[in-house]
Amino acid sequence: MLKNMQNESRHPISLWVAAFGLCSALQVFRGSLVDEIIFITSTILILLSTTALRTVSFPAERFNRVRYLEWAGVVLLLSLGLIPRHSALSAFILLVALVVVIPLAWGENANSGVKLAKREANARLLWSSWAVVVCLWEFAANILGQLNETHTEFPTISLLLDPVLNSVIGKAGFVVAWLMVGFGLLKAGRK
Amino acid sequence: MTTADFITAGYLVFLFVGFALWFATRDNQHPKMASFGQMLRGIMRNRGTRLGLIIFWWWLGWHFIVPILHTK
Repeated sequence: MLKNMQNESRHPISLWVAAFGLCSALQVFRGSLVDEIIFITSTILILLSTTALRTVSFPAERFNRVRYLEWAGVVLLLSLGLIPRHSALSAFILLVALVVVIPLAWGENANSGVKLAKREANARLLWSSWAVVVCLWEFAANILGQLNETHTEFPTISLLLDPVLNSVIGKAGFVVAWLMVGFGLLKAGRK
Repeated sequence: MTTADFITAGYLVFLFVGFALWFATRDNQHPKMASFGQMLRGIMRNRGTRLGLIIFWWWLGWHFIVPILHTK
């Protein structure tokens, strides 16, 4: 079984498990219980998705034939745009969205078996390096802010964006951009 | 320049570099480097990557919309 898994992927256990594991450790350091639960559960889910549960599939392709995603996006845009931030209803809507997108991202195959072309692998290395540097910068700001107990001296992205999101236009812009990225990810995952 | 200015400038530099990388490869014609979209379609064939990216995307929405940030 292990041999088959290695034939399909150079990394039978996704590197995303390590990435989410590190994020889980940071959330423990931050002392944010909800984020701890989210990241630890996600780490376990991603680990299982490519190992013990790799043969479990969800027919995500079926939902690509009709415009379910577009309609769901419109509903999410209107509801998140109109409902105030930090409300129980916005939390409920996002939890419902999570329950919908997990099976869609899960999909039919754990790995298509198609190896990345050299150009794609180069781009993956480049963008991964960029993302790692951004994350390290953010983590450093977060950790130094916690140790120093002055978050404004070591601003994280959250701290910088929070005032912008308190305005109607800022929040609407964020919701539109966020939905477009999610829509793009789900579409890219089915090609 | 304060520490806060320096850290904020870092974020802006990363944003600019990301935009420049996307812009330079957007037509997918570079002989050694695929465009961001082409790369994304390639890596999304792996379930671990699909779940990792979509959960992280969802968490960003959660993080900025639901909890109240406690700052000093």
